[in-house]
Amino acid sequence: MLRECIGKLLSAVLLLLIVSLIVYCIVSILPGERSHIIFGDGVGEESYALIDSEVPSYTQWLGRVLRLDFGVSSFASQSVSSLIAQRIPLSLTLAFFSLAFAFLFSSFITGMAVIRKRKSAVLIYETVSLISLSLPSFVISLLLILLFSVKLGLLPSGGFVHFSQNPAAFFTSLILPSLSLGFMHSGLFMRLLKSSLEREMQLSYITLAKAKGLRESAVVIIHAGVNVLNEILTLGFQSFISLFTSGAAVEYIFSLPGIGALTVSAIGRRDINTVTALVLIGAALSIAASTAADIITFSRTRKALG
Amino acid sequence: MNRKLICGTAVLSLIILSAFMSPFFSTDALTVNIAERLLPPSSLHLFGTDSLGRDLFSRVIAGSRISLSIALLVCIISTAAGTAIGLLSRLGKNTDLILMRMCDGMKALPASLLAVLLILTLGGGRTGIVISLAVVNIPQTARLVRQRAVHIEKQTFVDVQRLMGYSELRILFTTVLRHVKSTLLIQSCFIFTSSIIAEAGLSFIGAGLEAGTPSWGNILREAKDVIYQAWWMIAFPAAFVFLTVLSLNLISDGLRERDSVKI
Repeated sequence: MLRECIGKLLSAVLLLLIVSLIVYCIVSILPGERSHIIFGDGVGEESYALIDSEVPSYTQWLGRVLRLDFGVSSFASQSVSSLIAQRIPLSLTLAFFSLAFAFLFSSFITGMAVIRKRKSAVLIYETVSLISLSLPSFVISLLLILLFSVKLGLLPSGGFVHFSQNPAAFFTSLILPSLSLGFMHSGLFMRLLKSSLEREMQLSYITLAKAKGLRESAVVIIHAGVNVLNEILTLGFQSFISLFTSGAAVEYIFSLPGIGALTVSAIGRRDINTVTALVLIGAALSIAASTAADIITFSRTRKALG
Repeated sequence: MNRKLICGTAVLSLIILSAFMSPFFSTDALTVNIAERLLPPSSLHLFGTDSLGRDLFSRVIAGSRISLSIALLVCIISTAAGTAIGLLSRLGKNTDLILMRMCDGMKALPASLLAVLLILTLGGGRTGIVISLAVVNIPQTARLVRQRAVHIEKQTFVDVQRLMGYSELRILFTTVLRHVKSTLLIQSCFIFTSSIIAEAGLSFIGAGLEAGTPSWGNILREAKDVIYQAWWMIAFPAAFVFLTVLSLNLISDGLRERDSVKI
């Protein structure tokens, strides 16, 4: 058990090194002048002295990255890591709410389709999952604003209130963003949930459970549901990370000061340091998440095998 | 042919047709006319006008041409490169190890942020977007091709070809490639879909095409600022994005059902 865990951790570290090498290659082989990239065209040589003109070697660069020193953000004149650290909590909260919504919503729709097996339930499942896979999150956000803010005037179309100032306003400002991010992700959840549930329903322990006279809903939720948890958990980990890194457009729309909004403003300023840091953090988190999911799945299957 | 495949192809063909026919029935997508700014849909301006008085219908149609051509290019480049890498990795154990580790590393990077980073370093514009989206999509294709190739290489007919003295390279790029084809079709359909979404998203957050270029993402970006005045600037481009992606999803679902392949 311990041995396998250490093996998985080692391969995760190796993967991290490869990732850092790839990112270093992208960042250091910049075409064109660094001053132009960072300051835009029309900026003379005098600004050039402000930034490191020399490209650091890979080991130097890696050393800095490991100390979480990603340099100075080109406009906010603040260190990139403190800039990111300020914005992480909000994005984590948003990712959490979106994931929770995606999970509840997709389990409900898929559960109905699997348990009821009625034509209407299956049709709802098919339609909702297709729509969810076909609407990018920023399009959903814009449509939701049109409906709830412009037409009905129920929810704010943007702006952010800090939790300590007004908890209720904090949560209402997160409703629409979480709905849009969550809805986009629920399509994937539904597809996975349905295919694993249906595969599970073929197995003989389900036949036994049915023969005991259990209701269909109990069979699906208690017996099959628990056994597909592994796969859902793995997808959940991955989705959490991708929600965390891909919320840029949604955060920008709702002007939430999170990681995504930082990405958007970094694009506007051509701030490569910040984007590099975000890419590295995102990759590290996703590797950590998949390793964790791996280890959890591994220990669960071992327990099941005895 | 099943129903999903037919519906998807029909809708997609309509959109492609409208994109190609646009020079014949729409006015210039770039003509600014401040006197006619933010007009609601009417018989003169079918989809209304935007905040600079440009005809929205022409812009949306021009947008479909831009979005579809970018997605098509991304799809072709990444499928070709991914297939080549996936097949070449079967040539030797060390090649396999190096190439697949590289792919794993690329796949671990968050796709949307990687695309943004590449666009920042390569410079934006159409070329920058195409290259960065292609790079983002290559690793998964390569992995998929390799996985199928491993399976196919174990079949008897491949052994027979080896005995006949065919070179490994020839077997990979003829026999194995032929058997990977149906998986590749579904994968390239998936890449096409995700590139449409990614391009619109990148333009929307300002990392895509130059401001003013009529692409779906840019129109929606401009619409965001006038959302309380002009619902039509959101509704029509959004409908086009939705219909395009929906039809592509229907096509790939249909293909998957037809070939009963699971990805």
